[in-house]
Amino acid sequence: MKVSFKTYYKAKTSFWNTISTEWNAIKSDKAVISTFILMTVVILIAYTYIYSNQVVEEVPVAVINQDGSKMSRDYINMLDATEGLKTVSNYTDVQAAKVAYYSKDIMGIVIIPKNFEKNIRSGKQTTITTFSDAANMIFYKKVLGDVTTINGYFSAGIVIKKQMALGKTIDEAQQNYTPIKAISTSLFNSSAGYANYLIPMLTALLVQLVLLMGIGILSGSRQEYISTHTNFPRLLHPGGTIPILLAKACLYTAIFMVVIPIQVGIVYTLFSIPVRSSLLTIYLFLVPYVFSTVFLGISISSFFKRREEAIVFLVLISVPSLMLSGLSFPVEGFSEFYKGLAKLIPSTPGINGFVRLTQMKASFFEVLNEWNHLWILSLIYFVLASISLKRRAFKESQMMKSQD
Amino acid sequence: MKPSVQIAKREIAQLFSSKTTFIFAILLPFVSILFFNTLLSDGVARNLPIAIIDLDHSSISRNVISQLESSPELEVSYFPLNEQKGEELIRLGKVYGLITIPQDFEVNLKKGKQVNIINQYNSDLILAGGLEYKAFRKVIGTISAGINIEKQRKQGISTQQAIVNFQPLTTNNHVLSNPFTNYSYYLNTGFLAMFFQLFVILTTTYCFGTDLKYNKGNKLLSIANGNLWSIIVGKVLPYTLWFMLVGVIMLISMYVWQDFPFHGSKIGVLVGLLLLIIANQSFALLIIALTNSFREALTIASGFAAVSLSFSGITFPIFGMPKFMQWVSQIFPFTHFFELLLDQSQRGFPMYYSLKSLAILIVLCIVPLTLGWFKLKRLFIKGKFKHHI
Repeated sequence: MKVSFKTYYKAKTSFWNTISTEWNAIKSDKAVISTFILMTVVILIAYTYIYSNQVVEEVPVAVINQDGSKMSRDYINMLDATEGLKTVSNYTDVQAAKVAYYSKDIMGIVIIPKNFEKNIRSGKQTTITTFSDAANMIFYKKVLGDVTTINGYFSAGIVIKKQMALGKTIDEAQQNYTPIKAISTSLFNSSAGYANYLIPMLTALLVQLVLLMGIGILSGSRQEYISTHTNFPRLLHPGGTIPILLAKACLYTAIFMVVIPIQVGIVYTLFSIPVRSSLLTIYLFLVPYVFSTVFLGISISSFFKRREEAIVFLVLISVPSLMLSGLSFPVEGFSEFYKGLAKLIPSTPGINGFVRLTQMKASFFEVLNEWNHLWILSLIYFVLASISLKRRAFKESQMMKSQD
Repeated sequence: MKPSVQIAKREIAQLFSSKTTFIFAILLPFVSILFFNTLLSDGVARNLPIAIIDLDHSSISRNVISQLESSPELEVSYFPLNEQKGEELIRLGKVYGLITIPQDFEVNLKKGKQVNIINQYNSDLILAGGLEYKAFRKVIGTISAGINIEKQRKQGISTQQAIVNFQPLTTNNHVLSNPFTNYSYYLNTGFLAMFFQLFVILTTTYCFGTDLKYNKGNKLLSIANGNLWSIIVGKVLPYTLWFMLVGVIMLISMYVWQDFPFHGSKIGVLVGLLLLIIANQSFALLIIALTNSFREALTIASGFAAVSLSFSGITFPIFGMPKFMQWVSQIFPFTHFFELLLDQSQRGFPMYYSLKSLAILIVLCIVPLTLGWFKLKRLFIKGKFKHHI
């Protein structure tokens, strides 16, 4: 009983000491502070500003009108009226349009053939030719998508008018034309806006990036000054790593509980990105995310002999982590190896959970899988982090002894 | 040029004695080339899971389901009992879309009434949601057209005429540059080149930063007889050559080992690659000159290289950004190199139209170094950064 109380007391002291040591280290290290502020606020605002227009509008396409009839002009007007396209019709032939395409004045070409109106009136099929540039998928989708939609409408209009000329009502004609009507409802991000899509992902990714960088920088300077074991004296005792690691994780969780509302409050409001969950749920989800990332950071920080190395390395893993999260390119396209690798990175469940909570109206129970996943990662990295810290403290104390 | 050769020798010796520089400059570039080339090796997303609620349970509804199933983009993975369960699957992230076939679907269809099929898709995931939406519309459109044509045939109209009657206007779409709309062609070109320049700028910052952090500036200056130019040439040129080699291997990995289309001028791309390397090194020197510590220099350099991805227009076209951001995007060498690379590889533009990119890259090689020259000189005379940490 006495022993256990003593252990508890020592652990408690060590816990609070670690919190104050770590907090002071963060406070007095300009590098860590500036990384925190730069990454969490400045980068987020800059990125959101880049995507703040949300969608690409009025993509210029060349229309080469070889027909010059009224119907062809109607068709061009319909194309021009779409949100996505802007028609430029002062090109007389493909050659002229091609030159404009080379100088990036236009992103696609639409050709209306000769006898367009005549053929349609006499019941012959007519073909619109399009050229769209798939080197940039966003332009490609806009050009092709809008032209296809307008063609569909135009065809339907002609057929329905013909049917009505035969004495059918407009309803009958419509029913005849499309026996099965496909109704699509887009959920969550109805305008398919890029900021709505990317910024929540980035917010969650930044949690991991900032934590890993901060921990890497701090641990790098402790390596440079050989001060790990003096900063955390309980490290060398049996079980001594537990209160230290828990204290660090709790401290960083507390920091993010302040940072996240600032990010969401300022950036999301400023650029009107929706938030569809309560702060409490986000906090609850954040705990294992921060825990697992902190432990991962401590596990890998032994590799950094200098504080600068942490910065370089962690910038490098940010883009791959985002890709592996499977939200930008669907996971279904990855090989088993990368699916497995993705599961080891806290940001994979972290980003998925955060985006589903804030954007897809998921309740906390619907992100429980990710939450559990994060706790499992926390456990794994906790063990690795203890081993890594212990080894370092041991090495340092040996080094000090041999110097004496 | 004698002192610069001496400095270059010292630099190469340092490269092989320091584990960190060796890993960053020599090992990791190849890891990144391997990573991106293998990650998206399929390039096309297939078999996206969807859920279907079949409230009709008729032969036609089963036919619709099997047609959806046979579309390459979709895979019917769940049959929830009601809409609530189905929407839950979307929120759980298990499916990208939920399709509902209403009751009396077959009965109404046979009566000649118009019937609806409802598709709810997750548009928060732009790529996957968009693919699901497109595939759904295509499948249902085809089925619907089939029924329409069948009806006309029953009235004695030939199939061909029925098709024309149904669709008086068709499109003939030519997909330029990336005919298979392969996402790997699109994303990897950007990611690989972005990572490549990240390594260039970081290595350059690193090799100057380590010397200046540990107060070696004076020593270098004395080797170079006080000539800053020979220090820069001696330290930077080995990396320029090395990264040129890495860059060529990166290009080979895309255009030779993989099947990325390349229709333009090889020389143009190689010149652009060289200019990209030099421009990034020039920016690295400017950053070294303007910052107070090694750590600060690295943070800014890595930040600069990382945001250049978004400014290049690969994730969102420059055309669609706010005007101010459009101007900012022009500062990044990567923006111009990426444009040149796309124009000369996939798009196969005549070289003439890429001269502008090359010209801007040349300007971006000269200007940063010129801006930072005097501060850099003062820094070397002082021998170290203002702050050690």
